[in-house]
Amino acid sequence: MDKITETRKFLVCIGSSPTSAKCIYWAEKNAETFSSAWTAVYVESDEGLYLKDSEKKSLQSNMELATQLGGEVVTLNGHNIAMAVAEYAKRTGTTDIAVGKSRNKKTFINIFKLDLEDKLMSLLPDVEIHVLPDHNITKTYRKNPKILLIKPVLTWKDTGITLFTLICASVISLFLNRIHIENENMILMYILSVLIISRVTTGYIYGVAGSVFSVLIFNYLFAEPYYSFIAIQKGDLITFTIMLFVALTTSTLTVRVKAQANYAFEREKRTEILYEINKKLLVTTGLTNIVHLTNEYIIKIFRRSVIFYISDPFNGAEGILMKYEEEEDMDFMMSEAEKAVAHWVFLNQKRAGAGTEVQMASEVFYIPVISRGQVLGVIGLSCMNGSFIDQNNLLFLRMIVSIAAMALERQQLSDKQRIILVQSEKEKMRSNLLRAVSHDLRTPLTGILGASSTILENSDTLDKDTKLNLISNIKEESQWLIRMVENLLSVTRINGESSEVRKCPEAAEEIVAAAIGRTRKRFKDCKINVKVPDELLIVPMDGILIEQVIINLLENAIKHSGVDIEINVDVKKEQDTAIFEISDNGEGITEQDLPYLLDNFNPKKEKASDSSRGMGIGLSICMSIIKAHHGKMEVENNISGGAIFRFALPLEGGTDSES
Amino acid sequence: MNHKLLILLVEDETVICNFISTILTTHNYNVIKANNGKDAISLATSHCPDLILLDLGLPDMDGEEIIKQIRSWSTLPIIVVSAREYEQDKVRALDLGADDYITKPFGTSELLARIRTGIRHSNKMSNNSPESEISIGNLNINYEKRIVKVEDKIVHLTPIEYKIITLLSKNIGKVLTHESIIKEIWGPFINENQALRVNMANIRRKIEKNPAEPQYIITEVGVGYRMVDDEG
Repeated sequence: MDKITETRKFLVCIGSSPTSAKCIYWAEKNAETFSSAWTAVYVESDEGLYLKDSEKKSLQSNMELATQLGGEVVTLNGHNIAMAVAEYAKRTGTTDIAVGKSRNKKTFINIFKLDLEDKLMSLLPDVEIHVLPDHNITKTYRKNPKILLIKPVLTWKDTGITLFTLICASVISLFLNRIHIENENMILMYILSVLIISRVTTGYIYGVAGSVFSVLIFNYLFAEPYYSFIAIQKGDLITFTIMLFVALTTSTLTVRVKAQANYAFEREKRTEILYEINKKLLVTTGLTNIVHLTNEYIIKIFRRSVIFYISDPFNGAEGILMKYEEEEDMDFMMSEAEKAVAHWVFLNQKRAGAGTEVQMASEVFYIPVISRGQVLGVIGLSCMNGSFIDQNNLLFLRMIVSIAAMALERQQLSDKQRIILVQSEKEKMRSNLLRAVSHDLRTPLTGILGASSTILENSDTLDKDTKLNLISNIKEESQWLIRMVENLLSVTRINGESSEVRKCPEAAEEIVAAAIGRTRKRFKDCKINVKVPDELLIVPMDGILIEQVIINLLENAIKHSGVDIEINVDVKKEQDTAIFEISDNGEGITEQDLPYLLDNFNPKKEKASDSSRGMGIGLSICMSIIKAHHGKMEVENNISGGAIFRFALPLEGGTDSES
Repeated sequence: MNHKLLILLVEDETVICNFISTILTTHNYNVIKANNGKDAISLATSHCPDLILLDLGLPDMDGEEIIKQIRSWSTLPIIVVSAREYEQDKVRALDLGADDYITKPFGTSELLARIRTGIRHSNKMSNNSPESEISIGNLNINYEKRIVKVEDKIVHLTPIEYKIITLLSKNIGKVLTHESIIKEIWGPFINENQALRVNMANIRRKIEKNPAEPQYIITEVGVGYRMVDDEG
């Protein structure tokens, strides 16, 4: 059929009758034609409590069929099927309802009872009612005669109540007799007691028994001849009938009311549990926590062991198994065969396992946790020894699973967000570095280009001193550039992903000496005082990187301290860290720059970066190197003027002492 | 001896090649140039230079290969030129037979000093008469008497420390890798890196005024140690 654009909503009334299956297929076909959703409704009335096992099974398979074909199965509760369906239909805007033709024998009682389809038509004038005939005309299907098949439930309590009420009634009646009240009132007394018995006891049996006994007792006590059972009169028959009727009516009412109360109670309990689960999951973070919480609740509610897979077991993930304490060996739930079923569920996004039509041999029932078309996980409940999950519980399970799905999705999104944040931080850092480097490269290169072109173009007119000056400028700028390049190359020694360095045990004094030696080569006249502990201090580190750090700090100190500077380098050991301090007696660091110095370079763009001359990059690279060593770095102003740069390296952790 | 020494310069970067050969020629050395490994080896075999300056970053051959080949028939001094970070390459080159290394970018004075040291040692080896003592600055080592003095005061060294300081002084000006020192002192099968550091620290404390500002024995980070000669 062509797809029609009119919107329709289909509803199918299902029960345990075989016609329901037909209705379901009909609904699915039509729903597909109209591209709409369809619902299968089962009304749980008092009859539902007394279904035979075979009927329960066929009801369940009908519901399964409906779900498999893509419909939504809804269970309503109500005494009047038509009213319940009508109300639901009105609420959901149903346009078409399908029912199976009732096949009840037209008995005396039924003659005046409207069939379901008629009732629906009168309640829902705007809805199209489709009646599907049942071609199987043989009446092997029969509705339960309510009463006869109900197993009477005998309890001591109810027996006691019955006897007690009857005795009370008799006593009061005897009393009334003594004071010469007419017999009619005694009859009423017994009717009242039958009413009470039916109201209070469970089932019909006591009400009926009460009626019988009331008649007998009345006959015995108050009918002539007194204290005998003889002479049952015509009137007794009427009395008995009326009492019986009262008993039955009241019992029915009572049964219904109790059933409804039970149902409402169950419903409320479920809703409460769902609310509780939802509330707890909202504040749970971390995949494993969510899984554990869900597992806990499932065990509590369904009293079965549960296994939760957060990813396909064929990708190597192990499910998280939680055992219900009364179940013994649950290791089979983690077997290869079971994993294969779980894997199938991941791929096909459908339920499988025990009680379904897929992989029926499994002893675990699997349900996928789906959110927005994506399978976030699979939950398996143990169904040992054929204890399948019934439709009611299944509905509840689905609700819980959808809550878990939301929680998992939320967790996934938050994890993704974190990764994105980290990556964007890295990107920012990288582009910052590039920008700063390019800027700082340009300045000295401009100087070199300028000086060399000046010499070349004016070599005749310039005097020797000026030329030497310019050339020495070129040399200085080049040295500066080299230092910067070395700094940048240092960064490549730090592994990109893990930001770790390869540490070797080195002698602190050797590294410091080397760094000072190199600095002295470039700045011949500066005064550097250095002190190391008397006992040899071995620190695990990447020698070249730490040498770079010290060189950077020394040159920094020199640059910012003018000519007559004195720099102090101090190395000491404090518990399990090695502390390196480089202090100068220069101008120190302005208050506003102090907090930013080690964090970022050039945060203040107004300040001409020429004056700081790449102080930013050098220091930030120092910071990266120290961080990669799992050390700490800080800077402060010296009380006696000047700045102190201090970094600490842990004495633990180093690789093999390969040089 | 007044003949000019011949240096084979192996460097593929033209600019660097130019300025090095300029310096060398100015300082009275003869220079022959090669810009790849094959030429270097053939020039070395045909001209027998007094020293080879070998850049490790050659396009066609591994510098180590060249060292191996030359070392198979000659002990002429080889100084390798390399970039700073690749200390592993330097160590390997030194262990394969190179005598010293210099890091790019280098100053001319440093280069010349290394060359002079290299030549000196090769002369010493061909000389065959062992020195009886050596003096550097205020440090004096008398090999015959096995006495070490700093500022004329006798310094007491343990046997291992004496061996180390002797080894360094006999190779004065040249860098010795950690591994080669360990092999010499403790033998080839033991990894005594920690012991070496400790011994060096002790030596420093005995002969240097400030162990963090050594005058005589300096550390080449990641590579080894070098005893400073008068050349600087």
